[in-house]
Amino acid sequence: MAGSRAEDSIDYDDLLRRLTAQAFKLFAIFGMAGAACVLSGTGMSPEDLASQTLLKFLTGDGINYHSSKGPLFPFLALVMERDLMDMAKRHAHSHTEVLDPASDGGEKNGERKKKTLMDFPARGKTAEAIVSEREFREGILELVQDDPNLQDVIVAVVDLDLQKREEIADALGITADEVTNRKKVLQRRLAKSLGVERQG
Amino acid sequence: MDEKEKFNIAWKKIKAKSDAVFGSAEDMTASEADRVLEASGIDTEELRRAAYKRIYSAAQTYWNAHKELPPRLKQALKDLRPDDLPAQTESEATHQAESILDRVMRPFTLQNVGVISYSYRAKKSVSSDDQAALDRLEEKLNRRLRQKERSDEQS
Repeated sequence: MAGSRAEDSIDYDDLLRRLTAQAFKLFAIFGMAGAACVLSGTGMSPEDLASQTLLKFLTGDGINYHSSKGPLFPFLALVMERDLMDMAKRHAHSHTEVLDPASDGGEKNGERKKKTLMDFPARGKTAEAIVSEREFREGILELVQDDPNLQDVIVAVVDLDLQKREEIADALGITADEVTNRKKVLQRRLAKSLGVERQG
Repeated sequence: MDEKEKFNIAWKKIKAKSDAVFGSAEDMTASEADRVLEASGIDTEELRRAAYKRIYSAAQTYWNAHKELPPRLKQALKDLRPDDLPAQTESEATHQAESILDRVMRPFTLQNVGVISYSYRAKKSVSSDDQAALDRLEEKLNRRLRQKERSDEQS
């Protein structure tokens, strides 16, 4: 009963906004490693990914949520992340055939077969390139090149491998709350960078 | 180790670092989401409209098959329905009117509702579900206040 009562109070407008913001974040992380704001090979945008995840939850298609699985939003965020990863993997592993310009191009009965876009598949990035730690590091440092305080957080996490808020605070000699504030600024910069890319 | 495993391991590493730098899904509160969407240049009304269109299209497949809509889908259709779409049933018209009234009355009621929420919070008998609902309400009201302040500043 507790589950259905909790579901009665779901604010779908809020859920949609939070999922979309989270999708932007995920896309931007991929973007760090060189992908675009639309997942190449799929044409999927962060808004598409978020509404697709919401729809899966609404119809129960492939998502079996119950309140015993914890709060709804982190659960759906994880589902969304897995879907994005699956799409990225499929794209990374898509078969790329390089056509020999000297070939007959599919000539049949003396008639040259007309080539379509499908005959020229895009060359996808390798899986390693999509999740390259080096490119991720370079990407986020580029975001904060004007702000040494934010750079410090990134160095603490990426280079010193500190992940807990308190560890980062200790290493930087600041409070844990200040770490949270800097993370929020970083998150908005990340979103802004993707927004600028979309508008550009 | 195959490509898939390599990818999963690399992604987990990046994701852990990314969560440590930018915050995890648990940190994505409603107000933070609004800031992220604003920074990304997303029109939230347009976002809602596009999502509604997608959900409506899914609902059509149920209607065409004479099947009942799943309860969540039904509720989301009501919640996300754009106000400017003509109502098809009496209950839709009532819901739409309530939404419009809610928006019109928002500037006059927000402060009072906020106070009620805080005094209610002090009660010890509030269950965790109620507390979670109150927290969500508080966050939503704060967000609306901020939106109102922003639109006031712009005008």
